[in-house]
Amino acid sequence: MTSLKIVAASILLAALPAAPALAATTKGSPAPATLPAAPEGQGQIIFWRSGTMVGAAMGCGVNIGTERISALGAGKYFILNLAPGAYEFNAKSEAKDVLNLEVEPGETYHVKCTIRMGLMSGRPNLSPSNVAEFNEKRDGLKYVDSDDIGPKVLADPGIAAPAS
Amino acid sequence: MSTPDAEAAARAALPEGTRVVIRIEEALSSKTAKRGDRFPISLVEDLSLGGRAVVAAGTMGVGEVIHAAGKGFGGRAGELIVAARYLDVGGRRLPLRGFRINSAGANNTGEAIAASIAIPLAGLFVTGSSADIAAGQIAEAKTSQSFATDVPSITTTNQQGMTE
Repeated sequence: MTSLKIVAASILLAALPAAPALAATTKGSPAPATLPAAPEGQGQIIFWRSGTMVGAAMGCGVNIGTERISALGAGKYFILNLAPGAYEFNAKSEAKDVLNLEVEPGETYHVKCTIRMGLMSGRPNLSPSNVAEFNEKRDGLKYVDSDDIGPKVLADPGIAAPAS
Repeated sequence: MSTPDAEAAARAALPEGTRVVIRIEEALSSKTAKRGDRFPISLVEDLSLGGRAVVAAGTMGVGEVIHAAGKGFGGRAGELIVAARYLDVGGRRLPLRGFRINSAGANNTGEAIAASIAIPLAGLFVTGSSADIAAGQIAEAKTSQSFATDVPSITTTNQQGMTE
């Protein structure tokens, strides 16, 4: 009887989700027609990466100093609202690429990530972009998945906020 | 006897956010520029208040390199981000913001990948182009704060004889 209970408990445990505490990853949605503006007194940076095949399997991790902000897969974008000031963004693999930006209130900046050739792996490169270049690609872009939305990253603007 | 504050208040002020057309007076290149480098700028169009020019075209000012990165192997393009800092108006600084010429050279990542397929590692030796800003390039900025001018404030008198 005891062994029967153990078998039944094992079957029950096996049927449970492997990690019930972890929320399922939500895929990012396509960029909406209008993106939300930065809050009053802040500036906004839109980071994006086109969906080309070059380095497609490699993520482009975006950091401020040593703090990870998000990671851009191929064909992804995310929005960061920041207080005005100077920031040093970087992306690292076998080499570190740095982009310095000064954020001003009410201004929107665009930064693109490309993957270049490296000796052992691709090298992510953050470079200045502009609204025209972003708009040219935006129909093919989706927001980063929920597991790449760090605490500073704006929630997916393509997902309607739940009614309160 | 009027105080200096009262005199300043009696002068009309150029409002914060006034549109300013600027010319870059010195050629800049990601090959040679370094973060923090300063360069001359000049005002292209008079700044006017009530139809009267208060800051004349030709007024000189200072710009600064925010970010510079040279072209590199693997198709990396040069990068250059510059900002306008201020105009020198008769020894007083008129601070500027919202001026950005983001310049990124042509990225040859695609060519680098193609080369690496044909000849392994050859892609590392394909470089992108430099980012250049020509002397004489025109861009727009905004005044970042209200700026008292030498023009007296315009006061009107209503029918009750009260100034407003």
